[in-house]
Parts: sequence; C-alpha cells; structure tokens
Amino acid sequence: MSETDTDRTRRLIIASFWTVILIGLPLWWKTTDVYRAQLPFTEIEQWSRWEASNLVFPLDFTFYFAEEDETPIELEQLSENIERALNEQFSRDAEADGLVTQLSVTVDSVKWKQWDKIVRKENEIDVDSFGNSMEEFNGRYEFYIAPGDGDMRVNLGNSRCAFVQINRKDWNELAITKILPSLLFSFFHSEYLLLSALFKPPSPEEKPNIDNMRAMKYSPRYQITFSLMNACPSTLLVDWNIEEAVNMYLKPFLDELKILSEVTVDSQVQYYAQLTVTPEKNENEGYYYLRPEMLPHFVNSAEWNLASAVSSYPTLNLILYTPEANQSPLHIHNSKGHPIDNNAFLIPRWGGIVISNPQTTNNSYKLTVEELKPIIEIFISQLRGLLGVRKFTSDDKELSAKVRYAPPPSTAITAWELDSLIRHRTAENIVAAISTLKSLSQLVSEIPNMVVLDHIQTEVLQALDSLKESCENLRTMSYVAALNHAKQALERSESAFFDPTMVSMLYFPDEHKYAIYMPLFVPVSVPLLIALLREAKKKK
Amino acid sequence: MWQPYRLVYLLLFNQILLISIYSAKTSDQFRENLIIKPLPDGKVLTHFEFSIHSSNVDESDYDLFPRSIGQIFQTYKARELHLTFTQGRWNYEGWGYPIAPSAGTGVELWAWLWKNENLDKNWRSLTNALAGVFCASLNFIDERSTVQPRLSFRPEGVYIDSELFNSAELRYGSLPHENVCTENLTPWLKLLPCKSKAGISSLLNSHKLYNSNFHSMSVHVQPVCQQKECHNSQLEILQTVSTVFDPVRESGKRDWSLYQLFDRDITRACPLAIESNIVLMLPEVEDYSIDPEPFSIQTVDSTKRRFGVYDLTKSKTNFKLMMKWKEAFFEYDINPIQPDVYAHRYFTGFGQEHGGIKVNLFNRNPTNSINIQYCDVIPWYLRLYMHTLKVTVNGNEISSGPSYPIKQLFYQLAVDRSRPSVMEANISLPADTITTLSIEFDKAFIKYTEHPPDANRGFDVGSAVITTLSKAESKWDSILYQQTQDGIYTETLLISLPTPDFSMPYNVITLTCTVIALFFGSMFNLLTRRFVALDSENRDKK
Repeated sequence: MSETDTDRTRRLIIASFWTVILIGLPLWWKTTDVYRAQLPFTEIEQWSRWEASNLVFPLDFTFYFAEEDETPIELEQLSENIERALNEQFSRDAEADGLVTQLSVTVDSVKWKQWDKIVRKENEIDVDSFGNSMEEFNGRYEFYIAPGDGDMRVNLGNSRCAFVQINRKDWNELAITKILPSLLFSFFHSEYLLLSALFKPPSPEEKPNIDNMRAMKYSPRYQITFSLMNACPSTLLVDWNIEEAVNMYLKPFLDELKILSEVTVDSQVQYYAQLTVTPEKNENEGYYYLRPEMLPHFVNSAEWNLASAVSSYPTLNLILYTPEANQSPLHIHNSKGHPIDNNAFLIPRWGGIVISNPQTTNNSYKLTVEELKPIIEIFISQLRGLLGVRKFTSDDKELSAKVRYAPPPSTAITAWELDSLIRHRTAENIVAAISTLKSLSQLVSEIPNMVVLDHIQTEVLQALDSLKESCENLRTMSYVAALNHAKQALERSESAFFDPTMVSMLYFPDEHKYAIYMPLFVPVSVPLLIALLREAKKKK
Repeated sequence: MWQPYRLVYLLLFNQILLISIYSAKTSDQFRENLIIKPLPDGKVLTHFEFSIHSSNVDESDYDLFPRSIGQIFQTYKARELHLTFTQGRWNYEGWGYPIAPSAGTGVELWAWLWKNENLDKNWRSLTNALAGVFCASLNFIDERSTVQPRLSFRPEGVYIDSELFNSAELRYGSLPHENVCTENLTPWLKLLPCKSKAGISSLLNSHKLYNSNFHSMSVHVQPVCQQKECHNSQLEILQTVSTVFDPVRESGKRDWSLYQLFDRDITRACPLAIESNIVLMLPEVEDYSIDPEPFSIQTVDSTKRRFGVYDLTKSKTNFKLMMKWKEAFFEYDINPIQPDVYAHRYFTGFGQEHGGIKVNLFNRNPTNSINIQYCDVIPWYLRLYMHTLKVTVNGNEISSGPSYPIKQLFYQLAVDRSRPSVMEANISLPADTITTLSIEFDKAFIKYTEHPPDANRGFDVGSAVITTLSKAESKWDSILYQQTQDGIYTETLLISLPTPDFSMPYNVITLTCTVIALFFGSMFNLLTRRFVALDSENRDKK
C-alpha cells in the first residue's frame, strides 16, 4: 500500500466521521425539540401596535325640533352642519387623540301640538315616557328641542332621551349649530377622554384616574358578600333582615347590570369582630371617631371571615359594622376633623364599609328592612363606584345651560350610565385581551423550549377572531354584541395564558441539558477536531 | 347513630325546654358543651362540643352557621361531611372508649355525596376547598387514596336505607402523615360563632392543647331531625375537640383546674348559645373534692354513673373549676381497664422485598361474641396476596366452617398508581378471644420521582377501622351511646420501601458517556493513525 493510498483512506475515514456528525446534529436537534404549535405572532404584534384596530365608538343623535309657526327652523343642511361641528369639536381635542370619533346626527321636526302631550306643567316633561330603554338602542340618543324664555335648560331623562329648551333669541339655525355640539361635547367628552386613555401606554407623570382605580377589574361574574360585623354581642346583639332588603333595594340594580356581569349575593353575620385600630374619643361631644389615616387598617382581615372558599370570582365585600358599647357611637372624621354624614367609606377594588350605631337600650337589636334602606343606598353608591359606573353629567362649567336630572330610577343606574359603562367595559376588555395575548407571545418567544400545545393555538386564534368581531360590531353600533365578543376575547386569551402547561418552571433551562451532554460531547469532539486540524496542516 | 350532644339532651332535658330569646330570633341554634372526664390513669379528658342547627341552609344568607363550610357543603353537593384531625393515638386499654370516636393519627375525611355525573369532580373540589379552609394538605387525597367502603362509614345523620344508596355515594380518604397544629386550629376556631372570645370556646388555647398526650379535632356536617317524625330536617354542624392532659406528669398528683389545663378561665358566657354546659363525669370512688360544687347532679339509672353539671348561662361571674384528690401522690392502677373490643396492627417480616400485616382483634367480653366490620386501606405499593390471608383464633388457625370468624369479605384489588387495595370484612369475634388476621405482601419498586422529598423516612399506612354495631351496654363505660356505630382505630404504620440513591441517574449518564467517549477516542485513533514498526537501524540513521 503506497503512502498516498493510506493518506486517502485516512482522509476518507475522517470525512465520513464528520459527515455522520454533520447529518446527525440537526437530526438530534430535531428529535429532542419540543412541540410548539405555531402562534400568530405577527398578527398579535399588529394588534398590540393598533394597526388592525381603528376602533370607533359611534354615537347617533336625533334632534326633534319643535315646529313653530313664528320662526320655523330650516331642517335642510342643519343635520350636516351640526354633525360637522360636532365631529370637529371632538377631534380638536388633543387629549382624546388616537380614537376615531364617528358621530352622526339626524334632525326632524315634531308638531308643537304633540309636545303638549309630553310637556307637563311649567315645561317639565316626563322624558322617560318616550325614551328608548332597550339595550339595542345603546348609542342612539334623542333630544327634543323647543324654544322658550330664559336660560337654556336641559331636562335629562333616565332613558336615552332629553328635553332641551333654548332661548328664543337663539332659535335660529346658526346659533343651534353652535349650541347643540357644545352641549353634547360637555356630556360625552369625559367618556371619550377615558376611552382614549385606555389605549394609550401609561405615562409616569400622568396622575392615575381615581375612578379607574376605584373600579374592579372586569370579570364576567362577581360575588357580593354582605357582612354584618357585630363587635361585641355580649353587650349588643345585632341582627338584620338582609335577605329581604337585598331583594327589595339591590336586585333591580343588579338586574340592570346582568348584561355586563352575573352577580351573586350572599350574606353572613360575624360576632366578636373586633377592630385592629382603637378609635379616639371626642371628649366634648362624647363620641368616638376614626381619623382618615386609620381607615386603611379598619378591616381586620386576619380575623374576619371574608374569603369565600368556593368562588374564584372577585368578591366585593360590603360590611355593616356595629361598634362595641365602649366605643359607641363611632363616627368617621374627614381630613378637617368633622364627622362625615353617611359614616361610610369605600376601599378601592375591595368593597365598602358602613358604620352603624343602633340607638337602643336593649341588648338585642334587629335592623328592619326599612332601617336597612338608607344603608343599602350607601352600599349601592359604593357598588356603583366599584363596578365602574360613572355619573352621567355635564362637565362644562361655562355652559350656561341649567341641567336638570330626572330623579334616580329604582334601578340606581340610568340608561346613559349603563351605555357608557358598556362602551367602557368593551374597550377595557379589548385592551386587556390584547395585552394578555402580547404577554403570551412574549412568554412563548422568551422560553424557546416551552411546549405550546394545539389547544393554546386554538384559543389564541379564537381570541383574535373575537377581537375582530368585537371591533366590527363596534363599527355598526351593536354595542351589546361587541361587549360579548370582547368578553370572549378576554376569556380565551386568559385561558390560553393561564393554561397549566404554560408555566416556565415546568421546563429545563438549556444549561442543565448541556451539563448532561458535556461528558459525552467534549471527549468525543477532541480527537475529531485534532484529526481535522492535523489534516489541514498537512494540506498546507 | 352517634350524636354526642344527646348526652346533654338526656341529662338536661328540663333545661333545654327553657327557650332562650335568641332561638326565637334566629333560625340557627348554637349549643356548646364541655365534658370533662378524669381517666383511670390520672389523665384528664376534656371534650368540647359545639353544635349549630340551621333550618335554612339552602339560602345564601348565613347567620350562625359558618358561611365557608355551608357554601362548600352546598356547592359540592354533599349529604354528609366528616373531617377529623388527630395527633397522637387514643389509648383504648388505658382510657376506655373515647366520648366521640377519635380518628386515626393524621387527617381523615369522609363524605356522602349526592349522586350526579360530577360526583368525583365534586369530591376533588371538596378536598381542595377544605384544604384551603383548614390549611391542611387535604388536596393530597386524590384518586390514589380515595376509596368507597362498602360496610363501614354509614351516615351519622338521619337517613333511610333505600333512599341513601340510590341517591348518594361514599368517599373516604385519609392522610396518616399529616401533622396537626395551630394553623389547623385557628381556622377551626373561626367557624365558631363566638370564635375563641367568649364562652366555653375561650378555653381553647393552642399552647396548651398541643402540649398534651392526645388531641383530636373534628368538623361534622350532617342532616338531623328535630322531632321524631322529622317534619323539617335541619343541617347540623358539629365541631369537637378532644384532648387528653396529663396533670400527673407536672405535679405527681392528678389534681387539675381549668386554669391549670388551659391557662385560662371562662370570663364571659357566649351570648349566642342557647345552651352552655360544663359536664363533669364524677368518678365512682368518693375521695375527691370539686370546687365549686356542681349546680346539679344527674344520674343515669342503668349504670349509676353520676354527672355534675354547670350551666354557664346561669353563672354571671368568672367561672373557675378545680378538682382535688385526697391523696399525697397518684399511684398508677396496675390493672388497666379493658374495653370489650380493641385492636392492634403491625408489620411482620424483614428486608426490602416481602412483608406481612398482622391484626390482633381482641374481644374481652367474657360471654358474648361481637360482630365487627373491619376496614383496611392498603396503598398500591404493598401488593397483597389474598391466598395468604390466615385467620387464627387464640392461636388456632381456622380456615372454614361455622366457626370461621369472617362472615363476609369485600376485597378491592389495587391498581398501580391509581387506587389502593381495600379489605373489608364482617367478622364475628368469639367471646373472650384474640382473633388474628394476617396477610402477606410484596413491596413494589416505585419510580424514583414517586418518592417523597424525605424518601428515607418511609411511607405511612393509615389506620384500619373497626366498626362495631353493638347493643351491649357494657361496651361503653357510660351507657349513653347505645346503638352507636363507632370506629375503633388501629395504629398507623410506617413502611420503608426500597429507596434508590437519587444522584444515580446523573452518575449513570456521566459514567456511560465517559466510557463511550473513551471507546470512541481509541477506535478513532486506531482508524486514523498509522502504526509503523521502527527498527533500530533506522533509528541510528536519525
């Protein structure tokens, strides 16, 4: 065998070893790889950058002008003019940018004769008798406009209808195209501000919105727990007729909210529920009080049984506290040191507390349904805050109009407020769903050896579909459908994100794998490399 | 049926008729009782019972009945629920029978659940929810340790046989390794209407309770009837704590006082209780003094046993209680009392491969044979061989015939990693005998990930339960529990399985890799290097 022959054989041997290794490595890589279903990363990325969205919250206003013989209003062109002025005013507002406003206006006239039916004494009208209370009419509002003497007056009903009286001197097309847009702007501006704030990344210098901090995170179900905290039953045993009171006063409110969230109510009585703070005594007037800075420590969560063992939905705790005899009567001071009227306070995103000092000389006392009424009213106002209901008011101080609100309905929520809440929750859910999907895609791309199963992929795709549907429904003003789709999007994205297989702790870090393969790969690779180097040297 | 509060019904019937103002006000009725019994060996048994009867538990509005338990009970469609935490073992030969049946060491949970398609899911959720409420590892009662006994664990509340078996199913699970401590007592106390702030429950001081020879704490939720006709069934939650203290250990005397036992006195009565009694079981011998004297003394006619009763609703001031014996020091009785039926269970055999279980069932009744139900749950990693089951009576093996003690035998075969084996037997114990059951098993070699973190400690095997349905008056040293269904628990056992060296897998990987690498290196060198024989001539030339 000649020298060159052996060299050739040696080179062939080395080359064949390297061929096996070069083919084997990707094969090994492939076979040890974990299963990862393909996620729509680019689509999620688009959503999170607001490319696919162009979200709109359209509103539709109908103005009915009184048909007067003396100075008739020319309806032609009027609707376009008002619409243009209205859209300009909303889009001019720099703070609410990013949100496309789409406000449409229709005008019509109604015979003055017909007004007599609805106008009562001194122009007070029963606006609710002809407003739309159906949920499908969310976003469609009616305004009845008539000339009158004196300042502009607005009579706001509880359903989607208002009566506006404009001074006779402004009873012309030009003035109306100015007055009506600014009126609407003053009512709807704050809602638009809140909506657009949702889509903006939070900036550190901006003060967080107090309303938003108070309201609970959206959940399809809430649990409301009424607790009667009896500090010392030895001296005063308090009982309550809460079941009946809830059915009577709270149920109408919860029924209205059903479209947003299911709410279940339960109640309990806790005895010997003692405070962790000691109230101070006002010696002059003989009462005890809590300073505002003591209130955060009011709830004794270690000893009061407040947690529910069966429900995983957020719980709103409403507590009626009756102090013990040697701390009674107990009041809450405001920051100026005066007792506050309703003797109640709200804990943001947690619940509300009312302190009651029953006046009795007996050692037992039962709060009747009638006595519970003012207490439940406080609880309802706290619940409105906790569930994100905002009062529908005009926020423009300069507006010369006198706004007169209809007395609050028995449901404790007006159609205006419910509409606004539905729109807000829809937007909130869309934002939450998108940010959850974004976090999911980040998690998956950060942990390369995390298994992504098919059902995660399905959930993500469905969530994206629901998001699309929701946006589509918003465009066509089907707010209820939009809300339901947004709910689904949120639920699906969360079920994908919180899936038990999506936990980073389940997977080995790569370092561990290398540590196991090291004793094989290093000693094997050394002779291979040396042989290769030697051949290369010889070639030279 | 076992309903210990009946004790007070029987004794204090007149007092119960005094209706408190609160019973009219609320539909829930709260009763609290403390039963104190000096034991023959100088120890003192204190048994607390708190019961709440509620007639409207289907509602979401709770008054005295604890909301957390009520909601768990309703949500997971339970019919009855029994949860017992025990630390230590009840000494049947030294103390007689307990007032309420103590469970075996650790945690025991059994429940009758309404039949529906979600029954097993409900059971899982039930264990998880209770784990959360009581800060215990109840969530470890999974399919692998849950069983459905066929003979034992009949409901303790009211039931009709035909209705029960068609509509409800039993689930039983236990955790013998679970330690019971303050973190379980605190949530338990929070279920009481007066917490530990007033009334008898204010005595429950965890520092003292866990410094005792035996401690058992339980929650029972069950339907009860108020009248014989059972027009409107109510739901009852019964919470008990039994503790055995040893005053002799500290002072050499068996004198005790409430303050000495609990470090506390009762300062105020619980205003929510319609009944609040301390019942002192008076010893038969008369060489003691009690301060204060019982407010009333009741006698049970048939046994002449006497009870001193203190009604706390009538006591306005601080309540103190002490008992003194007229003796310089306590002398142990060398003849311990022997209850009729008791049992011991132990492992036989040696090594890491085979073993056996032996149970001695004692019937000390000189004249009557006694029927018992024996229930033993053995984890799957002990593979029992049924053909090795041997029964001996007083040392003589009996394999068949009318004198064969096992009348009925249910056996569920274990399935690896999914269910334990269950042996249930209806056994007739002949009078004054020791009946011994023995069975052999193989120890399974389990996967290394199945070992607990403290692998070398071994595995716990829960108590066997012996249920007696006895009418014999003499069975109990009080006659109050006639017709009781009661559990006698054997010792829990600790078994060590073959335990691997847990660093082994990595060692094997590295060793194998090194061998392969060495082999590869030398083979590769052999293939690629040329070996030339050098002769000395050539070398010289160089």
